[in-house]
Amino acid sequence: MPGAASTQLAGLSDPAVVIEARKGSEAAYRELLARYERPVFSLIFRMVRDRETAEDLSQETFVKVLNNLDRYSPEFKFSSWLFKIANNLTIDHLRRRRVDTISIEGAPDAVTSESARATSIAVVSQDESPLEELESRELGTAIERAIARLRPEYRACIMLRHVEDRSYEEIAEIVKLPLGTVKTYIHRARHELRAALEEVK
Amino acid sequence: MTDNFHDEEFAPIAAAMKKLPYFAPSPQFADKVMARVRIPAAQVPMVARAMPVANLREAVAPYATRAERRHPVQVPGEDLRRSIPARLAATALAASLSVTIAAVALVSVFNVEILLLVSRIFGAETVGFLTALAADASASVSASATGVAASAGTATGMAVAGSFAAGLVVATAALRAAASASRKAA
Repeated sequence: MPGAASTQLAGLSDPAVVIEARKGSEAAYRELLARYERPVFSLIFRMVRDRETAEDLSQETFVKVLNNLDRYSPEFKFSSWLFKIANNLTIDHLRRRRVDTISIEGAPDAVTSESARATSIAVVSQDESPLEELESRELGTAIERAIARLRPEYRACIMLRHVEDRSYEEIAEIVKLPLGTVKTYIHRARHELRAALEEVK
Repeated sequence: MTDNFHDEEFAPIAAAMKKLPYFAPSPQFADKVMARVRIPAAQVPMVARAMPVANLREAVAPYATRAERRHPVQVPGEDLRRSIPARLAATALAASLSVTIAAVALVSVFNVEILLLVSRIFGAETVGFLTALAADASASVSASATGVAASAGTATGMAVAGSFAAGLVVATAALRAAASASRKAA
């Protein structure tokens, strides 16, 4: 019963799901995918700002991780390992293409209204009034544009810190940089974001 | 440089960043990934080892149809060994057959004089003994045959022939029973 299996897996921690996957459970592989496909895709998409490229890089990330589950050590966070590989692949891709900043208008493939909406931000909260919602959406859009202007290294660090809510130590582990460098990057990214958003105001 | 640097000024931005939505990949994303993932073969518990031999036949048939057959369990072979008398009889039969075939081959292919060979190996007395034994056996068989022939048609002759037939049937039945018991014991 696949439904029952996935319900059982949903209650398990990441290392426990990895153990099930190592035993040969396809449902466990799909559970890991379901848990992290959106966070990983979003991180990569915000880095490269191109849906097709983001999808290819996300696919590479998951294929690499899921084919090497036997190398995963449960003493580390599975998500950190996953983000590390995603970040490495994305940085390598950006270096190959020598892209430091990305278009603030969103993805190059944003030719339809749907894709344009996907590349611009829409922050919606049930608790907000229509005016607050509008302000929030505008702020979100402005933040996305400001993030797009950052250097890729800053972008990765600031998103891991404030979108993924990772600790500095985890970020240092993910981006393979010293803790002090990570703090500097986040500080500079915040400074640049504030400056960019001041302009918007 | 600390995390609280310009915290108040950055706080609304940090709060807005936390609300940034996740983007979803295409609906076929998971299937595309899974098509490139090598899933290790499922591990199968070794139940067959603990299973009595009598249940093996029933267990093996449905088991082979399961998905885990990529790594089938090693089923122990059925140990149907013959009893010791049966094995001794089989060995004796095989040995006598081998000797006979070897003797026939020696005589027919190499034109060996078999009696001469026996006398060379076992001595001249053995040949004399074997000759006397053969003469005695043939005399006994011919006497019985003469007796049976002489009494043919009489009540005694019928009884002798009947006893031969009954003995043959009983001996066959006894041999079958012994073979069956031997298989069951194994």
